[in-house]
Amino acid sequence: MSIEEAVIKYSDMLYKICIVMLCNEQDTQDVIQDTFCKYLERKNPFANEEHEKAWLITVATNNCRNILNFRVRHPKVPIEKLAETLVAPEQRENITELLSLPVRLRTVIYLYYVEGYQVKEIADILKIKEAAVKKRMQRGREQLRLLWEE
Amino acid sequence: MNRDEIKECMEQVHISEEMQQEIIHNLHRQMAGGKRRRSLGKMAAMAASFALLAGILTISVQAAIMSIVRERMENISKEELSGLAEMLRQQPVNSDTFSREYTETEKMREKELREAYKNGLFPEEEILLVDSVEQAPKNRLSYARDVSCFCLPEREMTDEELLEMIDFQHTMAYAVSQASHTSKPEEEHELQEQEREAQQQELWESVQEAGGIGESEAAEIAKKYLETTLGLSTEGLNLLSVNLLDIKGSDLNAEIDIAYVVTFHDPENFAICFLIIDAVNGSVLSVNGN
Repeated sequence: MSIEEAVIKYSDMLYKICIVMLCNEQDTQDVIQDTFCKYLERKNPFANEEHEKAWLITVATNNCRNILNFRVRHPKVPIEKLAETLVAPEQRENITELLSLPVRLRTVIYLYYVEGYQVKEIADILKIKEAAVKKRMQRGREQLRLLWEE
Repeated sequence: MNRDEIKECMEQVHISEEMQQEIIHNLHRQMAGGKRRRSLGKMAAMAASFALLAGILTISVQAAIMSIVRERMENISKEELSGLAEMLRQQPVNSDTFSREYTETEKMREKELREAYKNGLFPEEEILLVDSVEQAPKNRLSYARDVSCFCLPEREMTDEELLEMIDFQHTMAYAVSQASHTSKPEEEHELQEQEREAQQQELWESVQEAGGIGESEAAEIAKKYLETTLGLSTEGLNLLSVNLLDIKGSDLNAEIDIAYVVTFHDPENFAICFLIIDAVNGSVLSVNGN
């Protein structure tokens, strides 16, 4: 796959997860850029498309976490303002609520409910324990007042 | 909110075509140049300039902060440095914020000025420090101590102001890296040391009871994480300390709420880096620095 094809295929998916984690367009672009740099340098072939996608998410989320842990970031944008640029007015409240969760919680919530990954898969992607994923899911749901059954 | 609403909401979020094209363009440029920006390269470069924690990241990106900058830092009085380190220690937030976004031209000029700073272009004045955001003058650059916020003027910043900010960031990083060398009265120091050792012993007993890992293993995990996960070179880094820390009440998840704090020092860039590692299962909980 050429780099154009890879960017076109995966950048939208990476953008969503990075913007959810970082709440900042410029940091998000940096992370996507770095993720594709690593993708270009990777020598081992992927087992399949799912493996490729999960690998990209792992690299991107690691980069996001590193950015979040370092002091230096691009100037912050208030979440409400960011929400205005991301979604239509009727969804602004929802996305603001999601982005207002602590980053660890909104990341697992996103991977589970939007990307459709299972708990074990999320644990593998984020390199954390399944118990930690479950705990974060529970806290995230509580905070989002999510009412559906597991 | 329910499951469908989260999905619907995220279905509206898309990367712009412009960003997509910019990413492709940058990747082509890097490929053509025969070198790729290292992972976290941009952040590393910024961190190098800021010299916060980051020597770790910067080692492979930049050989060193120019000696002229180091000389400038070394000329700062001990009192000023300890005052700054204390200010940073007391701040309730762990990252600097900005009162507004940079304009596009400010971003561009800041990048150029960071380079120029390393080559000896320094500001004529120092940044104005104020106690709180409320005290920040409206049309002048200042730094609010209480919330570590750079209060930017509403107008476009001048080169002098950008340099003041860059200089202050360097100074803060240097102050933090020097803080550990601050001397204390011997007796007080000894008492504190005894207290610290007793706390460490207590934590260590809990870790042993839970079948946790030792100091050297924690240090090894930290080093390996920097090298393999972050893809960074650890050559030239000094292992400064490995301490146990009770993380109860923090938002970190460890098996028994005890973690190792493994601290590396990059003497070349006056920078330090802390990795927080679960004392039982050895997982890296956080990479941090100051």
